[in-house]
Amino acid sequence: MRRQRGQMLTAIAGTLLLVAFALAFFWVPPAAEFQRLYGNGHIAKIVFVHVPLAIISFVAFVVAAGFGVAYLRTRRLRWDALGAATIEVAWLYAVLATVTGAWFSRLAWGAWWNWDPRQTTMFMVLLTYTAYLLVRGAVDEERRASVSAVYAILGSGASLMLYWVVPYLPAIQQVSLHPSGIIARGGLDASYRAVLALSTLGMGLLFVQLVRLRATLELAERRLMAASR
Amino acid sequence: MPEALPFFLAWLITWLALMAYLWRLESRWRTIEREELPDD
Repeated sequence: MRRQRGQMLTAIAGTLLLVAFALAFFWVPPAAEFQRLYGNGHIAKIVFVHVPLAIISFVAFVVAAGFGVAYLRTRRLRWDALGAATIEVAWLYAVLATVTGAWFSRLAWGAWWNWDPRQTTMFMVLLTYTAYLLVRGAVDEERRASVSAVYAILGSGASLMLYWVVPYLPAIQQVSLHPSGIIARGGLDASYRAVLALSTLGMGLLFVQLVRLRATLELAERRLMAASR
Repeated sequence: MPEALPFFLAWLITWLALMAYLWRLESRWRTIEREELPDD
C-alpha cells in the first residue's frame, strides 16, 4: 500500500514535470527583456528548472531543522531519519540549482562562474550541507542523531541568511548580475508564472517521494544492522 | 529551435540526475527487501 502510494506520487510528479516542460518548450514565448539583455530570450526558461530547485532546497533545509527539533524533544529515530533524508535530497536539489545557475551564467555573462553574490552564497550553502553529510557519516552511532539534529537547526539559520538576507542587502544588489530583479518587477509574462507554479509543484512532489524513500531506507538499514549484531 | 537548446539541456540534466538518484534508492530498497527484514 505504502509502496503503491509512492509509485503514484512519482507518476504524478513525473507527469506534472513533463507537462511543464512541454508548455515551456512549445507555448511560453521567449522573454523580451532577456532577449534585449542577453541576446536570447529562451534562456529565461531556465527559471522553470533553476528556481524550483533553489526554493525547494531552502524550504527543505528549514523543514529538516523542524525534524531536528522533533528528534531532540522525542528521541524517536524516525525524526532523525526524516531529517537526514530531507537534507540529503535538498543537497542534491541545491547542487542542481547551482549547476543550472552556472549554465545560465555561461550563456548570459560568458563565464560558468563569476563569484556573483548569488553564486557565492549558494556555494556557501553547499559547503555547509556537504559538511553536514560528512559529519553525519563520521560521528559514532550513539551521538549521530543528536549531532545531526543540532547541526540541522544551526544550518537552517545559516541558510536563511544566505538565501534571503545577504543577497537582498542593498550593497550586494548593486553589484549582483543575478536577474531576480527582472522576475520580481514582473518582467516575465503570466505564462512564465503559470509554468513556474506547475514545475514547482512537480519538483516538490518528487522531493517528497525521494525523502519518503530515503528515510524508509535509512530506518530499514538500521534495523538490518541491529538484527545482524 | 537552437535558441531553446540551453533550456532543453538544463531540463535534461536535472531530469537525468533526479531519475538516477530515484533509481539508486529503488535498487537499494529492492536489495534490502531480498534480505528479508526481520519485522516486515
